[in-house]
Amino acid sequence: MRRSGQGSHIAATVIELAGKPDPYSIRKAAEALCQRHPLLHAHLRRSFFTFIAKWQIGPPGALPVITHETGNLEELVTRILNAGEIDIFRPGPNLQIHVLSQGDNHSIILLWPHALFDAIGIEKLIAELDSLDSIPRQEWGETNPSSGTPAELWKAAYPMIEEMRTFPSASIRSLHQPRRRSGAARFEVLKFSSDSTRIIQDKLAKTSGELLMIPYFAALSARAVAKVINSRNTGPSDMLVSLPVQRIANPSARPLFQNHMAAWSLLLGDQDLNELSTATKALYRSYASFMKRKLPTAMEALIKLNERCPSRFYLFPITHYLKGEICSLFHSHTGKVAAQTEALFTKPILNAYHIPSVSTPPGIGIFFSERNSQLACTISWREGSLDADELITLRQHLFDDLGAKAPTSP
Amino acid sequence: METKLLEIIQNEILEFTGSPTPETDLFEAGLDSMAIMQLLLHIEDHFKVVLEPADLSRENFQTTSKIATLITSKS
Repeated sequence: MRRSGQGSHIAATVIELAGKPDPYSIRKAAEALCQRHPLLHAHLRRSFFTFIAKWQIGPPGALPVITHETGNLEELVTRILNAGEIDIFRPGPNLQIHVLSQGDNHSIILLWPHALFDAIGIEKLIAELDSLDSIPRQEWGETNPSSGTPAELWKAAYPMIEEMRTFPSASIRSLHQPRRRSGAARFEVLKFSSDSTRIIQDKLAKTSGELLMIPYFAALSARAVAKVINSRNTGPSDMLVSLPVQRIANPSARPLFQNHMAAWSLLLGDQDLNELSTATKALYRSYASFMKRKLPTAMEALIKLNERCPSRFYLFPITHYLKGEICSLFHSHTGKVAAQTEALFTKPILNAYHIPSVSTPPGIGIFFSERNSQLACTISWREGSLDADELITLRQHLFDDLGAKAPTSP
Repeated sequence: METKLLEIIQNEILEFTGSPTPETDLFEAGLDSMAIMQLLLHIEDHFKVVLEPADLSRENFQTTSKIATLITSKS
């Protein structure tokens, strides 16, 4: 994890507010939050004998609350995403709170590590952010519940390993370019108005039904990435879509920290990508096949098995089977952001969205979320994976498939 | 059919805090896009009904009772 840089796999959540929040109130809330949750100042260490990583509590320190009176949001988020100040393998705070005020625009930006939070965890954190409760909790999330010996896990994981062995017959590609050096994390947020969001939802309802959001938005994202790959004239490409899946069905039972999710790898063939409706159906069929062959259980066992290893151990066979790739793109639709929170520090929330950074390979991630009936689409990439012209192609294809345009600003 | 459907939803799809009824709001209980996909597979397997995009609306999937009515209309 440390060598591959995943220990510093960082995401930002931007919360736009109708008014300037009081920095003193935020600092008091951050102090209380830090005392409430020891995990916010803990770091991971691997056992010398079992190699299983465990959290070590560090001395409680204040969570950084940094106010910015100048500069723009895109530059600020790019800088803090790439600063490398949060690393779960180093002692120190695991959350930063930035407050940006530029004229009439006010935002709180939470910077967090993926090893500790996901969108569910951040959702819960936002819901309790504005609180002075400093009573320490014993909330540790799912701390790697016992699930069998390595031999038992290998047996349970074997169907997924066999599935992976079929991948070399496909031409799976991503935007990663092995001859180019991977650079800084970059992003662009496409924010759609309520009217544009309604147009997008109408198209979703007509194409796949309003409830089949996951295959629809995943297919749409895969098609946009495939368009860029095809523009490189590297021959036909199949897309391997890695979808995060909640393991705990009851939303209220999902933990604040370490809400471990399953990842399902679904293959979309080159021919499936020609039409959006065809791609959505193909992805749904791929999902159905994955379920009927009981691969989710095998995938979960494989993830559990991998938790015992440094990531370079398990990334090696994956990149071997996938000829240097991990998947074609990262994708998620996290639904409503801060759904339980109307206001923060007395200021109503106008909009909110996530900006995850991505690794290379695959060098690209397309993430959707919604707030106040406004859809947001975050395109994240690594320098060296996507040129300026290719970004235009990717964005245009997203607009075409979504059926609406948006101003391109963070 | 309603009883069988509720049994599937309770045992395979959602975790309820109390005892669900055919009129329990499934979206409030956590029915999301992924859960819908699982439910569609169960509907295909158990009731041999393939639903069309136009059928997949929040209105039709609000409660077990409404889903049962939808399946009956397609059988």
